[in-house]
Amino acid sequence: MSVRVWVAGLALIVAATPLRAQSLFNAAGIGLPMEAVDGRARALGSLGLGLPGTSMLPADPASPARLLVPGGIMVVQPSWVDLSRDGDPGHRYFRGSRFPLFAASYPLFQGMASIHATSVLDQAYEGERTLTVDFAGTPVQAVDRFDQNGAVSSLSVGYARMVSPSTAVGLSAGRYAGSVLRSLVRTFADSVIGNQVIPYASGGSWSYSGYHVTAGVSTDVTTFLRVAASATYSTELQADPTGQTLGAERHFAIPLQLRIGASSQLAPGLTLSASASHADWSDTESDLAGGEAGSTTSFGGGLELAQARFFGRTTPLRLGFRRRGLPFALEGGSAHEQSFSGGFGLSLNETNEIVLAALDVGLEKGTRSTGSYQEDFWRATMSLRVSGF
Amino acid sequence: MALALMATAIAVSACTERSPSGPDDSQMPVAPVTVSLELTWAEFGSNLQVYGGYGAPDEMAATMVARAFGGVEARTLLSFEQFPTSIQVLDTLGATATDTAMIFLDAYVVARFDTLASTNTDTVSLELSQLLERWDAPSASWTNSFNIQTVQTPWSQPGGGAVVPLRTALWDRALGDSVQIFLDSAQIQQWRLGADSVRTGRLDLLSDGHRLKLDFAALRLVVTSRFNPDTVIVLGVPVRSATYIYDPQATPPADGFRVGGAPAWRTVLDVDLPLTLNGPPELCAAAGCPFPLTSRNVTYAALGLRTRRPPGAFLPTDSITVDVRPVLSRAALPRSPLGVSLVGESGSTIAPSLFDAGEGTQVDVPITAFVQAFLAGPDPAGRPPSSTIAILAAPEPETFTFAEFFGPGGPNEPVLKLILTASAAMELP
Repeated sequence: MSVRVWVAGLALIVAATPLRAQSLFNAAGIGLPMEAVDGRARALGSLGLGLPGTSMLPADPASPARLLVPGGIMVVQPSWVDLSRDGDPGHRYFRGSRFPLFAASYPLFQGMASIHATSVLDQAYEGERTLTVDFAGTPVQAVDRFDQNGAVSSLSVGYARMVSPSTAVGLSAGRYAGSVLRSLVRTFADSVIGNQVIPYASGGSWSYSGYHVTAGVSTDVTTFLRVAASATYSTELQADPTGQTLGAERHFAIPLQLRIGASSQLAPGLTLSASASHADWSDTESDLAGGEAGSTTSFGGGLELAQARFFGRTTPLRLGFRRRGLPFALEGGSAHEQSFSGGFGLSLNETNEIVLAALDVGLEKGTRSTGSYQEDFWRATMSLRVSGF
Repeated sequence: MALALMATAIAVSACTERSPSGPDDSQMPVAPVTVSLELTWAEFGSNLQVYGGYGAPDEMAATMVARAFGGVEARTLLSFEQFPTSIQVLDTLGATATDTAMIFLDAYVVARFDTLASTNTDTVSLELSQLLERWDAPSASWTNSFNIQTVQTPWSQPGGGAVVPLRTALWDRALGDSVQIFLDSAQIQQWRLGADSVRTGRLDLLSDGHRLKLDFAALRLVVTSRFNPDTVIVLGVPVRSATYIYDPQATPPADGFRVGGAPAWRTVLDVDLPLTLNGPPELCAAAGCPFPLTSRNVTYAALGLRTRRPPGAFLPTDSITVDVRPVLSRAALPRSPLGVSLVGESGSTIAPSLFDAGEGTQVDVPITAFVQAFLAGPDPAGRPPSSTIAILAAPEPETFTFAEFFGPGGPNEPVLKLILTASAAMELP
C-alpha cells in the first residue's frame, strides 16, 4: 500500500486510543445509541443505507453484494462537546474519540460475506457531588465521585448477494457484547480526625449479551434511483452481574428498527441521498429503574458532488443534514440530535477504476438537546476503506 | 497526502480525553448515607486489663528529680565518660599542637531543665552527690542498684545508697533553664584519674513539693594549655548513662485505663462487634435492616475514652501520645508481640489539661484499621484477625507521667464510636 494509506491508517489508530465518551446523554436510560456509519454517510447526513456505489455499513446489509473485490473499513470519530443548561451560566467541555465501526467483506458463494464490529450504546460518563456529612456532631465535607465506564457493542456476520442485476439482498446476525463498570467513591475531608477516615466505595459491573438479526434489500429502480430498506430485530439485551457485584441481573427490550434510504442522480456527478429510520423504545421504559423512553424517528439527506478533484485526484465533496431522535432523555420528555455536515473523500490508491484505498472525512456541527440541557458539538468521522487484499 | 496529514492532525487533537459530566448530581446514583453511632462497652468491650513494667527510665531522653511531690521522691543518676587525654590547640606561633598535659582549671556539671514540664515557679535547690555503689542504669530502681532477672542487689540505703555530697546549687528559672554545679579540684582529680565507676553523680532536689524534668546533663571541663596559657578552653564530657529512680512505685489502677509512665503501663482489652445492625433509621432507610456490618462500611472507628485524673505525682505536664496496636498473641500477655500501629505515625495526642481541669473529656483514639480488619475476617493466609488491642504510649516510655481513662461501669465508661457509610447495592439504571 502507499504511504498515504499508512498515514491515514495511523491517523485512525491514534485517534481511536483510548475510547471514551462523547456525550452526557450517555447517562440517560441505557445509554446513547451509536450509529455505525462511515465518514461518507456522516457527511451526507445519511443513516447508512441507500447510498450510491458500494458500502459495508451494517444498516444496509444488502450493499456489500455490489462489492467487486474484498474490502475492509475502519472508522474513528473524535468529537468536541460544549454542554450548557438553561439558567446555568457555566459551560462544561469534554471531548473524546470512539471507534464505531470495523468491517470486512470477502466473496463467498457468488455473494459477499461480511463481518462487523460496531458500537451500539455508549454509556460512559462521570459525575461529582459535594456534600456535608455529620461525623458524630462534627460537620465534615465529603465528595462523591461516580464513574460509569462501558458500552454495548456488537459483533455480527452477514451475507449479501445480487438476486437480479439490479437488486441485492442481505442478512446479518450478531451478538451483543460489552460491559459496564459503575463505581461510586465517597471521600472525606479528614483534617478533623487525622488520617483515620477511610473512603467508601460501592460499585458493580455487568456484562451484556443478546442477539440481533438484520435483513435488507437494495435495488436500483432506475439507472438514476436506488432504494434500500432494512430492519433489525433484537432479543432483549441481558445485563449479567460479574465478579462480586451485588446488583441484580437486568433485561432491556431493544426495539425493532426500520430503515429506508434512497439516492438519486440529479445530474452527472451530482447525487442526492436521503434516509429515515424509526424505532419504538417505549417498551424499554418499563425495564428502566427511572426515566422515560419513547419512539424515535430519524431522517437525513445530502448532496454529493462526485467529480471534484483535488491535487489531481478524485475528491468527492459532500454536504448534508440529519436529525435523529434519541430514545432516552436526561430530564424526561423527548430528546434529539441534529447536525449540518460536510466532508470529502480522497482516493488514496485506485486501479482500473477500482478504489483500493480511500479516506472519507465527515465533519458535523450540531446540537443535542432535551429539556434544559443542550450539547453543542463538533464531530469528525474519518474512515479508511481498503479493498483488493 | 496533505489531506491525510490534516486528518491525522484532527485525530491527534482529540486524543486528550475529558469525560462528560453533568453540571449537577442529577445523573448520579442515589447518594450513600454516612451515619454515626456509639456502641456501649457491653456491646463491644471485655477483659480490660492493665499491665505495667514496659521499658525503663533510662530509655527516655529525659530524667527527673522530685521531692515530696505528691508523695513521690525521685533522683537522677548520672555517669560520665572518661576525661579527654589531649586537646588540639594553636600555639603562640599559630601552629596546631597536641597537648597531652593540659591544666584543668575548673569543672562543673550542667543540667538543663524543661521549664514547661517542671513544676517550680521560683528558685529551687539542688544537690549533686557522688554515688559510692555500682549500679545498672537499665534496671536500677529506688530499692535496687541491680534489678535484673539473675541479679538483684539492693542499695545499702534506698534511693541510691550511700553517697558523698559534692555541691549544692540554686536554680532560678527566671534566670535561665540551666544550672551549673561546680566541682572542687580534688573531685576533678578523682574523676579524671579514677575508674569509670567513680565518675557518677546523683542529682537530688532539696526543695519540697516540686518535680523537675531534666532534659540534658553533661560535665564541662575548663582547661588551659601550656602551649597557649592565655587561652581557656571548655571541653564537654558526655553522659554515658542516665536514669532516674523514684518512690513509691505507682500501683496498678483498680479499674480503668492507664497508658504511659516509665516503666510504662499498657491497657489491653478485647473487642467484639455486632455482625448486623438495626439502626439508626437513616441507615435502615438507605441500605435496609438488619444491616450486615462489613469492613467496607467502616468509615471511621475510635475508642471514645473519658479522661481521668491520675495520682498527683503522675499528673501529665505535657501532651501524651497514645498508640493502639493489635495484640498478636493474647495467651502471651503481658509479653505478647504487638502488631503495627493502628493510629499511624503521629499517634493520638492528648493535652495534659484534659487529665486535670478537663477531667471527664471524651477523647477519640482511632482504631479504624483494626475494626476494618476485624470485620474482614481471616486474611488471605487464613489467619483470623486479632480481637485484642493494646493501648500504649508512643514512644514508650516517653514520660514519667501517665494518662488514665475511666473504665467500664458508670457514666464515663468507654464507647466505640463508629461512622459508617452505606448504600443500597449498585444497580443499573
